[in-house]
Amino acid sequence: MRLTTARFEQMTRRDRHSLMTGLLFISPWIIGFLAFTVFPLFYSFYISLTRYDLIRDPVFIGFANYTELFFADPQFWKVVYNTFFYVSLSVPLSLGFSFLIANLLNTNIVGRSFFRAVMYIPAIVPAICTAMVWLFLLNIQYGAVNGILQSFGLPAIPFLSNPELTKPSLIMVSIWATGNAVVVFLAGLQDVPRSLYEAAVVDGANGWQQFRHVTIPMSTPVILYNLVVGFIGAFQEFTSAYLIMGNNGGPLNSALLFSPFLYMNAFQFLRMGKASALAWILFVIVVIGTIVFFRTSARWVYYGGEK
Amino acid sequence: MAKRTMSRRDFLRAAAFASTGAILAACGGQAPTTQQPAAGQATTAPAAEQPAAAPSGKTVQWWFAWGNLEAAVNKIVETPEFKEMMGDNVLEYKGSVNREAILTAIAGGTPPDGGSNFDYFNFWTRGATVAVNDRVAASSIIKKDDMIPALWDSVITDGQMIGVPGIESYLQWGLNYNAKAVEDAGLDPNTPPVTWDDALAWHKELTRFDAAGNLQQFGLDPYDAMAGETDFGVQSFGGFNWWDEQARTINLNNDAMAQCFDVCGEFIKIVGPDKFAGMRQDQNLGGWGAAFNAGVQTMIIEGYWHPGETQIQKPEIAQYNRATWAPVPTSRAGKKIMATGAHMVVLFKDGKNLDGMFKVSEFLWTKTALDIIFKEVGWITGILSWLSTVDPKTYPGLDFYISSVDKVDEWIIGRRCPIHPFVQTQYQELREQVYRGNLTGKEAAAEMQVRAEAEWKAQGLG
Amino acid sequence: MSAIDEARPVVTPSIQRRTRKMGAGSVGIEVLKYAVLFVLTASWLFPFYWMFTSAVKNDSQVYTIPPVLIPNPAYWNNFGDAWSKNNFNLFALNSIFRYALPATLLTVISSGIVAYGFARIRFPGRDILFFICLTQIMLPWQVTMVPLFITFKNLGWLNSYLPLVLPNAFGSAFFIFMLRQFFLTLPEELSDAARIDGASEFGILLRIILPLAVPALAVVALFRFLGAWNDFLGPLIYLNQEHMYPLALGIDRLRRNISATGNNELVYPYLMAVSTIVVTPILVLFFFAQRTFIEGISVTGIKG
Repeated sequence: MRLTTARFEQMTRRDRHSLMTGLLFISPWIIGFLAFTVFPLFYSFYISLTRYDLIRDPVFIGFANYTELFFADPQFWKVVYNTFFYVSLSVPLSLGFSFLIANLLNTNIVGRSFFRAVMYIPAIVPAICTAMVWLFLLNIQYGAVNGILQSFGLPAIPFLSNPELTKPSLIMVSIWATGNAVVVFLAGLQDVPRSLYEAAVVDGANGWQQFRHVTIPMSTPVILYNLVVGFIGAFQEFTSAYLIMGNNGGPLNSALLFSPFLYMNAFQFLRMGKASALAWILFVIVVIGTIVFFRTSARWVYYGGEK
Repeated sequence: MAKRTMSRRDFLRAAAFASTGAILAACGGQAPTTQQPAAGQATTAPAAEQPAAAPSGKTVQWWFAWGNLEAAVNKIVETPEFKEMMGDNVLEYKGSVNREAILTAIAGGTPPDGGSNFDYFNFWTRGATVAVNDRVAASSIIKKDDMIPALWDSVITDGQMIGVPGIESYLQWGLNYNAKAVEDAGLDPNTPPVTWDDALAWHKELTRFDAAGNLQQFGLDPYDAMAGETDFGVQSFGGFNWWDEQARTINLNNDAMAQCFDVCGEFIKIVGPDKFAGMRQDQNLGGWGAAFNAGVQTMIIEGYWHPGETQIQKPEIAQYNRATWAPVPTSRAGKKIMATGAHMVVLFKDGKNLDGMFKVSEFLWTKTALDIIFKEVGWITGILSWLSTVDPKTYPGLDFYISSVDKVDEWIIGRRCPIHPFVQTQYQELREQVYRGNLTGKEAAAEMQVRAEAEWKAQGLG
Repeated sequence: MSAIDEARPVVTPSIQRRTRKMGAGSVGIEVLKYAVLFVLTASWLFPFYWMFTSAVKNDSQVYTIPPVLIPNPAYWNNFGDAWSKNNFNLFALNSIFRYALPATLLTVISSGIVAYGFARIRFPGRDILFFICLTQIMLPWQVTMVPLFITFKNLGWLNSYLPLVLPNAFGSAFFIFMLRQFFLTLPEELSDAARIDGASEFGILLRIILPLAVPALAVVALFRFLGAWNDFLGPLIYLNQEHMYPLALGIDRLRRNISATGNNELVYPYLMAVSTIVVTPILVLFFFAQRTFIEGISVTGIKG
């Protein structure tokens, strides 16, 4: 503390002035950060050590909520499994799909902005509207998708009513709504210097070799961005999963994801302590995942053409 | 120096502007710009209109879990008797309130004055509602002698009266069936199922698919409506209640529960678990009793409201309605089991106008209110002096409920366990584990006991 | 902000020449390319087509196997009936005036000011603070959901829009980041000239930077508005009285209400009709502001 004070005193008037002005400008964020992030973060941890139903006073119970989740709650591990299943398929599939589509749109295409709009629109309309449509479309009996299958003499697929298919169905919906990534990839591809392709052509590279040695390396920063954003987003998935699969996550809780489970414990069973413990577990998972992505990124992300 | 102060002042001015804007905009409740449209909605939105209308008298807020009382409430508030009784109190009724909404309102200290059709015992145990003993004792309208004893007793725990019974309260478990569908399937509607085996035989005959394998009609969903409750399963198969209120213990790991899982699962297996879940996910057929109204489901276990509601919602189906005793296992053949339990108006501790709310609950005991509810919604209440004026032929199937009150062998008053909502969600998952072949009934019953006890402990109730 | 030029040929002339030489093979590739795009477009738009056509069906058209692709007759009155019978005028006004507009206004003002501080004022510790600001984007909302709920409950703010709107007055990490990236692209000389003339930093922001930043602010406004328009979870947690509902909860109420009463006529048509009406303004907005959308989304990914 003394050190900082000393440093402050050593600063020139001008520096001090700019420090004060700078802090003043960012002060709304500092206040908001303390009030809506730092404080809740610690408060959340405290609540996770209590039994609290909002009506009666909180009771401190140590790590009982955590031990209950890890060793007693039969649904917790199922929810963790469901969520990892969902994240580990939906993120790479969305990423791969949107990268391919972006590359396709980056070729000489008539109506590129139209196709890009088509891909992007599902990402910006209210999830409740699209959830209602998918619920309707994918019904085993009255859904249009199965209606079309049946009119070709094919058997109906129980997308939402078979425990094996509920997660894949949610993943399918998430890929449908992956327009953000397509747009970001496309913008990234358009920023790749043309000279690199020209050089590759001079070196006799064919289409695949250009893709492999120019497009992919040059896109790695954008891939990292989409990967991290997609990863965090998938772990937090709530609205579609909650609305399509319902309170209980569909048949056998097979698509009960982390966030709806947390919501259910908080606002249906009034288990605020348990919900906060879940929130902290999620927090730790997301932090670890993000750190891993960034740490390993040094090995595969190229910045500015340098390895 | 001058520059610095300037900058700071400018900044503060902007910050002040921002925060004023925030408060003005966010406190929409008081802001004139947003108030206007709310008032404009008055004609189409009875529930939404009230806050904007801001009547001179005191409002009474009453929240109701279901949606169909609204038509009756709209008529009740217009009656001169109601206006006279309520004086300058204005009733603000809100229907279709889900559990999260009422729980967060209670937790936030802003509950309505009264609530109905929620988890009464859950609220009571947590201290969210107040006892009404004194108010009821002082009332000249609400009389213990005028109500079926089982109903009156069902709102009392440890001598405390946790709410005012009424609105709709009577016998809750009958096997209702569509006589036309039964006849069409070559069965005799005059000899309805007595045991679960009989019911399963009917179910097989009544379940039909089209050429492509789509489900067109089925018999009984043993987990629909009242049959979906754990209370029903254990009582039907074992003749006892899983929740011991005196000892405050839970008994779910028993043969009756196991048998219930196994037998009821057979019904779903015949339809096919996936097709079954798909039918329930349909927005149209998924709701309580909706598949019966649509003619897709032909047997349903529910109570006194079924004849009237079906008549009002789907007269073309209701005309074939019949009702009889709910099924029991062969070893208990002939046992007439029945549940009751009053719906009530509970008064919330943090409500603002409990006197007004109590008056509403008193008014729900008058013939005026009961007649309107009977006519508009189809519900009845076990208030003897009023019940004697009801024509049992009003709705097909109603006579079974009115006449069977004296013939019951086993009574149960259900939904009294404070973690009933939790047990219910676990029941839904575990029974699915059974009919999808992942667990045996015995395993599921044991698992359910473990989960219920863990939750009981974790909620700090025991 | 790097404008993505629609007209810019992305494939270099030399590559084009090369592909042209490939003859029949390249025609095949072109056909395949458009075939893939056509199939994708059709399947991507089908849910919207289904939403719209189901909105004008009656129940017997909904429950027909195989499904009815073009409803005839079409029940156009479903739109008006579904909307007005279920109080959607009020929900729309709530969504716009109680939620989306105030939240947007506050976000633009606060994020603009904070981003200016991060981008254009040099002060010790700035980069560390900005890094912290970035990590905030990664914070899952679940972590703060319960404590904030309890805090707002203690403040007596439940069932008002305050918990949803007020936090916007303190900037949003994502938009601060976006605007900072934009402010960095503006030449420093502009500010220096003004500083020499004695303008305060706030004066510079107000008179010089903001006029130049209108497109970037429009992006922020657009995304924040959409975020509020689409938000389901926030209102679900904080609003429990019907007259306060925004559109998203109105739709949820519609589906619960119908299934609760057992009066199950026209469930899907009404849900689809209301959904169509709620989605349409976004499609129109997107149509008129496509470049703004795309640039906004792109800048975060590329310059990040």
